[in-house]
Amino acid sequence: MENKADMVQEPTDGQLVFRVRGGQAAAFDELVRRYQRQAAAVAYRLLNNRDDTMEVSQEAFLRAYDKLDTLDKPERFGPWLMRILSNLALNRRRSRSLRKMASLDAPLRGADGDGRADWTDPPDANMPTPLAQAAGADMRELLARAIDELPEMQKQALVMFSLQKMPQKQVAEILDCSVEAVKWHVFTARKKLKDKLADL
Amino acid sequence: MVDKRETNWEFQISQYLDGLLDGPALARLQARLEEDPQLRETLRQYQLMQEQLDALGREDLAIDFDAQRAEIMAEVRRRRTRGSWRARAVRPVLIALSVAAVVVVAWGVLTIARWTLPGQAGRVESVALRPAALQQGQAVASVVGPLVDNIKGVVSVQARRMQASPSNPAKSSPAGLVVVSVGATGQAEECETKESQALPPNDTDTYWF
Repeated sequence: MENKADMVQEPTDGQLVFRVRGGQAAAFDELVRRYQRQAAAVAYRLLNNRDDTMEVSQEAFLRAYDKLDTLDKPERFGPWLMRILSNLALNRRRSRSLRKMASLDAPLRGADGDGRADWTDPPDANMPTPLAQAAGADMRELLARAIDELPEMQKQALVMFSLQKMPQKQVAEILDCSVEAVKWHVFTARKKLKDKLADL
Repeated sequence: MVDKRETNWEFQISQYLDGLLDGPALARLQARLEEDPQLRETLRQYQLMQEQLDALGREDLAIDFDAQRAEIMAEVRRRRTRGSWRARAVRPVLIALSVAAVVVVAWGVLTIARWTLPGQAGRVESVALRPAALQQGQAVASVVGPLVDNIKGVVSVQARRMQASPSNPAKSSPAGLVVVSVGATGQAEECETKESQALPPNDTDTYWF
């Protein structure tokens, strides 16, 4: 027999949004709980920087809170939040590349400190060979750097769909494009990653 | 017409990895893989890469989500308080401004109405001639009304119809219809004058018609 507590249905995103609009701040806490891991994971893959990830994901929630009244379809809170997040991440990347900020997490970033791997750099003699890298955890690091180099749409589509396993329809909604376009972005991103890693 | 994507085997592999391929498309790819060892190698590379992508997606970010949530909610509460404080502080100001705006608008409308409607600016109570001190055609008018608060003195008086006084033709004082200009709009109050009468010399008193 089912536990009585299990039978109590969790409120939907839409219901929570209505509660927040009605003045129940605690309902927003539940929305944050539901989406903060996904938000952080997407932000991290888009920014490749932990500090920026924390700031941008936090800012995304606060923007969402401030603009909650403008959300036409409360049930679509998740995709809406992810769109805010991806826009903020994109802006952060642009300002970062403009300012050439010094890297705070050097191991994951290129020598120029702007978060981009410089694929034209001569290989470091102390670095493992590409084969060895590909065999181990370094492969993921290389992948992360290669993802960082992808064009924005391809990167967002790949991160949301292939890494975070978000439904294609939802990704299309966030990126404001068709599902077919998402498929193509994901494929193009994968192909570029494969070709880039093969060149190493 | 054949979709170009159908013959783009790498695209088909990408779809296959995502579980989006079935039916004839899946059969076509499988047949192709059987006869093309290079495509099998390509598939292997994509599979290997997807495994790494999956691992990246599962990677622990070592973020204290409870602390982050607490921080977000603290800021949310701060904004709520600030918002409601602002609302409380701003509301009386807005009400006062609204009332002031209504008063100003009402006053403006009344003013315009008074200045534009005939006889509303002021009412000429009396017009007196002062032949000794004034030029011909001038008069002393006493004007009262809501906007011209009991003005008394020499005002611009235009005699539309100047008539010589029959009793004293030499004086040729205004008679008939005298127009007294009141205010900037030139709104006038018309006053029917009577025939003027001879005034004592140096008489400074107003002479009432």
